[in-house]
Amino acid sequence: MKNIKHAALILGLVYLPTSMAFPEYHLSGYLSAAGAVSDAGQVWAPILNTSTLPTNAASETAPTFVNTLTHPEIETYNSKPDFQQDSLVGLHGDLTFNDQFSMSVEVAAKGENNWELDTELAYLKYQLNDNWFARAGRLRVPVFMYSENIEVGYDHVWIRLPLEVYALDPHTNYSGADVNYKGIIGGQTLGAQLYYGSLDDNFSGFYQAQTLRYRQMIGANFTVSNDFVKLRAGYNEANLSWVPASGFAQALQAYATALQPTAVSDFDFNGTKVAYTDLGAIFNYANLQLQGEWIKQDSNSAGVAVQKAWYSTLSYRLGDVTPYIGYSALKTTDKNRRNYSGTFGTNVNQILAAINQDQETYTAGLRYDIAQNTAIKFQVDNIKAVHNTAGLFNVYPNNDVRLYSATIDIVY
Amino acid sequence: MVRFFKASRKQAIAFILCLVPFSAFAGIAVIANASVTATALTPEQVSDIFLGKARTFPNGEKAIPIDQGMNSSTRDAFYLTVLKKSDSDMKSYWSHVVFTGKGHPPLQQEGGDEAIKALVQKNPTLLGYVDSKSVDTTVKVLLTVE
Repeated sequence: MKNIKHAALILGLVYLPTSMAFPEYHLSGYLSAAGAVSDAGQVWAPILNTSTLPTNAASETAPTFVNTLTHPEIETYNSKPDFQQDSLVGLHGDLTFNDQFSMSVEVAAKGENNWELDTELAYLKYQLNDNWFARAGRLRVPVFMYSENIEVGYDHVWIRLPLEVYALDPHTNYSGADVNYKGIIGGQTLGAQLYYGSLDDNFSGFYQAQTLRYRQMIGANFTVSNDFVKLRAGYNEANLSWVPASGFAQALQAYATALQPTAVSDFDFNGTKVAYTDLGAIFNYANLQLQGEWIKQDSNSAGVAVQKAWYSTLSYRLGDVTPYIGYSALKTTDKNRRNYSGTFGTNVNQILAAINQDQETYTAGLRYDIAQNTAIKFQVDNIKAVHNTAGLFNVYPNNDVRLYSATIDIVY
Repeated sequence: MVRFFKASRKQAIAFILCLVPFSAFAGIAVIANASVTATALTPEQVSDIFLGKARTFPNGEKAIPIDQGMNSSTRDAFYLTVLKKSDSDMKSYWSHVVFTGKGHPPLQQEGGDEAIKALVQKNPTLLGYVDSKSVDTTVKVLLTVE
């Protein structure tokens, strides 16, 4: 990390006996250059394609990672080596005006977005006192334990955060405001965050431009930590609307109106409540680290699955080398909500089955801190779609899929 | 080459700290301006200030930590003995803090103990550290760690 102000500021300190020299500038950055390839082979069965309903156009090709029906913008991997999906470069700047006010901007270019430059963060921060601060602008969606530094590969032991958990909400920023507390009580560092905001997720799918609108996003997150343990608990919810009502949803509603009127509201994605409950823990003992996270996604619509996901990773630091192993899983718990009877069910159940995602992954990897700000990592994931679902693949994989990845992560 | 340098430096510090405590390296003294009303700090309180978790002395007076330069052996000894953290630990810690918008690492001052003492003498908000054999009456010692 580069701190570009030192010399001038230190000189300023000499002549400003009771205060810092303002404004202060800090500029930092991060880079991940990664490659991944899977051994995905034959398709077991493509998602059902009928002539009566639009589909997600799944083709009979080798399975690629992550269901494009629900997460069209996040990682896809297949048997062709990919150097884009996990690669990114970002720049983070802070401008501190005085003891109370500061501004932060972070821009990033990601391979998965064809290296288009996006503004990840842009917010004004007000530091009320040592314990309280508030921010307003474009902020990180704080659903997960690693949400706040989700893009900085160097900060994580893995090459990518466990997708079973972190693919549940692929949005990284929202517009809104938060209030934060941080204090030390009885030797424990306590943190609390309350936020409110909204976001629009624009993507292409079903042959047209789509927007998922998240409104009334509200949440609270709490942490307690010391040198050995960090515990986190959070609850976050939002009202989700799909705009325009897609041909897919409209077709399902029209079809349900004709054949199964009680199911019409299941495909009305206008004001669907989506909620996330997240629990995380990190334990450190000597060179050993055990961490885990559990999350539940709730919704009041059959179109958005109720899912539970979790991971656990054990790592051991041997000087500059850190081997790690982990397990992660995703389970859909409301499959019966999309199991309709009669002709309606016959024609839509298999299509809607794409929403059911059960998956297990075993991970093994090695992190090597080759320099003070640089880590190289190697990781193998054994991914298995289970319970007759396609997991996070766009089509049903025939066998377990092995994903081989390598990266170099740098902060500067 | 980088690794060799890191390893050599750490081994040298360990050697100094563990095997010849009464020769070249006497200990770490955490120092502040003589006008600071605080009389002593615990290692935990010093750690909180240098990790950005606390921005004041225990009595509420503003506290700004000041680091020695990256190549200072006193710096390495301070972090290993007072904060119990290695270079890599601190790099990981600040990477997390900076990119989550929660703070920045302390300012750095090259020039060793004399430069730190000169700054602390002129600024009642600064908290620095020097080799304890460099301490004199121009600064107040709030913690000494052998």
